[in-house]
Amino acid sequence: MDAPFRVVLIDDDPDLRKLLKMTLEFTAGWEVNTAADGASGIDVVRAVKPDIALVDVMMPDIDGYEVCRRLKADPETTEVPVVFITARRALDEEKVKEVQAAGVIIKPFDPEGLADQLRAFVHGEGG
Amino acid sequence: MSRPNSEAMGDPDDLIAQVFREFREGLSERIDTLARALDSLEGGYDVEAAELFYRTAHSLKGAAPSFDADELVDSCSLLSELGLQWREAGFVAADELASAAVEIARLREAVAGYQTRMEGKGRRE
Repeated sequence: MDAPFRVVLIDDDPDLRKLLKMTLEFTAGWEVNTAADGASGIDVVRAVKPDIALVDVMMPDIDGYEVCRRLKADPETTEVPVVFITARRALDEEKVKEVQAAGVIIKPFDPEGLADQLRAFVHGEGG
Repeated sequence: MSRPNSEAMGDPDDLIAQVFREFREGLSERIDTLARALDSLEGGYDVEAAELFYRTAHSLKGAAPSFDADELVDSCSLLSELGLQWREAGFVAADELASAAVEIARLREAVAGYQTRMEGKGRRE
């Protein structure tokens, strides 16, 4: 069995944070750390050095694209794959490429398939 | 499929059903927050009220699809756009306040429909 992934989840909605965290914990046995905004999320990623960061795009203050930019610009976190989670209407595909995100999950997410999708992005298989 | 300490954490389906229930039960408070922010803006422009209005609508718009609450998205989108516009313009027009009030009322109806539908389903399937 693969070692459990460590995920940092950054999303400003408390109910969605709970749902995503529980989904990954229960369907895949992953360790999930959370943050409610971009700035504290960046701090958590630096502290945890997760296998993947799952980041909401449309957050107040620092949006997901800026979170990804800052993580990629920091040598301590540049290797952490960042996957966005967002509504299709909010997706800017050019920005996703520009900030070098590893992939995008479109809301609503598939609870049964979420872990597999994230694993594929980490291994460079998703798209 | 591995589950971490599932006996200690409880049944996963029950816990996820609880998260869905908390989302449903929290909807009235989210809408009341929108209504209070709107009341404040009706008394004169207030950047904090505009920000709260925008964040509340935007957050609900993003969360709703994951809780099988698609019927809330359209109203939340309109309210979120209004809130963003007010935040950026530093000004609220009277007709926009009226539109927001109408949309909040629509959102309350949509929430009532959603709650009825989900209670009829019982546990999350």
